[in-house]
Amino acid sequence: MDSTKTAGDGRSPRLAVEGLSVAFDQGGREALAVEDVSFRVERGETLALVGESGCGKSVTCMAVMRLLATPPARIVSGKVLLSGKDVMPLGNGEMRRIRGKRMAMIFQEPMTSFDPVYTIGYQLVEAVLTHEAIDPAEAALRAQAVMRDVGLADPAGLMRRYPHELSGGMKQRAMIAMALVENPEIILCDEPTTALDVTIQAQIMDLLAKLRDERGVSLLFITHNLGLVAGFAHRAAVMYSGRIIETADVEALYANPLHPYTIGLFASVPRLDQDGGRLPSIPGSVPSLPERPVGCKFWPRCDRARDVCREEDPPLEDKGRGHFCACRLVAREGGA
Amino acid sequence: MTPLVECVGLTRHFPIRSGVFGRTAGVVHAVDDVSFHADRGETYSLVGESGCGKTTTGRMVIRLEKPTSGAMRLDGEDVSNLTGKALSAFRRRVQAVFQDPFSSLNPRMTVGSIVEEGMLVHGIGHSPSERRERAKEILALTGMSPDSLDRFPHEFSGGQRQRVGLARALSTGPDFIVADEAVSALDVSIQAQIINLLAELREKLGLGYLFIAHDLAVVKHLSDRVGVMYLGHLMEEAPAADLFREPLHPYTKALLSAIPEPDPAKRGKKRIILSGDVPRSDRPPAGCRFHTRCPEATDRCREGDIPESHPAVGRRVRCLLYE
Repeated sequence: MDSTKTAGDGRSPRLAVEGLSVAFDQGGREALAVEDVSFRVERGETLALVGESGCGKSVTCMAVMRLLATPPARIVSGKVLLSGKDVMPLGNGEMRRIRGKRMAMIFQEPMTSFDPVYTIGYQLVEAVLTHEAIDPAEAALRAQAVMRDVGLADPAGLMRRYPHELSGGMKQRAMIAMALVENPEIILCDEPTTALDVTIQAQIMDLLAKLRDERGVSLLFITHNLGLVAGFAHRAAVMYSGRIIETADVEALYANPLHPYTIGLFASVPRLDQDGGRLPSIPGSVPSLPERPVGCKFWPRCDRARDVCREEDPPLEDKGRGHFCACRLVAREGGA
Repeated sequence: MTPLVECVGLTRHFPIRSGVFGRTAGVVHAVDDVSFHADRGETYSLVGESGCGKTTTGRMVIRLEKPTSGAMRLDGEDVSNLTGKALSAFRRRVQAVFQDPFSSLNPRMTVGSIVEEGMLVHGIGHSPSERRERAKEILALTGMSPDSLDRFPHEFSGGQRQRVGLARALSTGPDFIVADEAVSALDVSIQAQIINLLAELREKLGLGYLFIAHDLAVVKHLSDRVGVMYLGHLMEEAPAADLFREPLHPYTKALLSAIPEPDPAKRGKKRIILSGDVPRSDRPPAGCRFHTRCPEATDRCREGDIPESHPAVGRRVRCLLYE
């Protein structure tokens, strides 16, 4: 199902995921961690995948990059179209040629994403030489140019440094440089600033926005931080228990969240522009993978749940003007 | 009136040892000359980024760490050098809740024995059945059902585990609780439940809190007064409402400005983006500790001690702009 159509220019989106389902082996029994997830990201666009821990946002990202350990994970179904071409049937060797070249990834932990025994320079040059048969000296020059682009001072000196000699913010800049060095079509960012302090986070988000706008690179931005989504993404898809339950333009989503989970989630965020008092909260907690209920995954925590919610999982449908929501209780715009 | 908890010039330096003889190669200035007080029924929050010294300050308040100099007083009595019975009595009155509900509960103990252990240590309750009854009451207070007593921590979600951690802290009937990033590891929808619970318990039991956090929106929600730390120094202190309405210190301004707000309409908002990183705490800059990143720094900021100013009632700021 096409859930995230935008006014395209007729060309294929940079990334389109269609009907992706991923199962995990739970001691002999398989459980779906990600269920029928579809979305697309256009050129220069940022789509945020938002949700709390265990909602499947990172698994989705890892499945797209084909970085999931199989087993225990298994991609049950789905297509991953990179500029129109399905990369799902490709073997590991072919995927290696695409990863880092056409689609890159920035991980959450800048502390653990570099190999501690090699210099930053070695690792950046390696990222180039994996994909291109060029002179290492030329690759080093290119690496230094990208390091300058991401705001790292003295790139030549940094090339000889080891990861532990860099601060968290510098490491994340180096990580971004590594993702950019091959000029990918899309970068998947999995909580890229969660491990950083808020003033450093502001620096990194500023940098990502600048690079996106200058280079037209598309971003799939995975986060739990609703503040970052509001300030940075064009569209957002909210995930709950393995499914996308709502997706819309960021302005529309924040102005008028439709799904009871999204409404509850937004309300429970403590805000700087509000005074204290009791925070609205969602009762209960996110069900673990084997405990996910039949029907709508949210019904045990939903105060509006009815019998129909307990029986069938509602489809993600357009409720008007490209605002998609998977809830039977939400009427279509103009409808009853 | 004597405040419940009062810290005066609290300082903690950690020597860096190196080589086979453990020669002191340097000193980490974790906390330098920090003073504040907190009362019953009040939440005092310490905020700041990693390495600012907020956690070390909290550890000194619960006496897990001895100050290098300065004093920590409970009801006017200096507790920095307590030992034996007196220290035990102090621990009964000042308890802690930690950040990670996964590693702060012993996985081999049932929830009941976790909550009862503190009572046992402090001789609360005359019999096992009395302690069990009390544990049940305290767990109910934190929103846990009585059947949780005989279950193990791994059977519960993060939010429920944090409730157990809170129940353990309450088991000795404390006056003051130090909560170090107590809601940071939780998801937003669960975080709201625990924030509400903390506020509820404060009203019901008249507790005082030292709430240590990096999330300023949470802090605004829960605090009466807030202290902002940077590189071991308390840079600014103010009633919460004043601090968020009108931050004075350039660091506080930058910190507030850096928070991403969940409102797309604020996207165009001009933000203060600080350049560079926090300097290393074993080589703190001379003068104002923030001058290396401060957009308003002048030559005078780069040397000497920066005195504290009192620009308004209940407000303190360590910045030459407010002399």
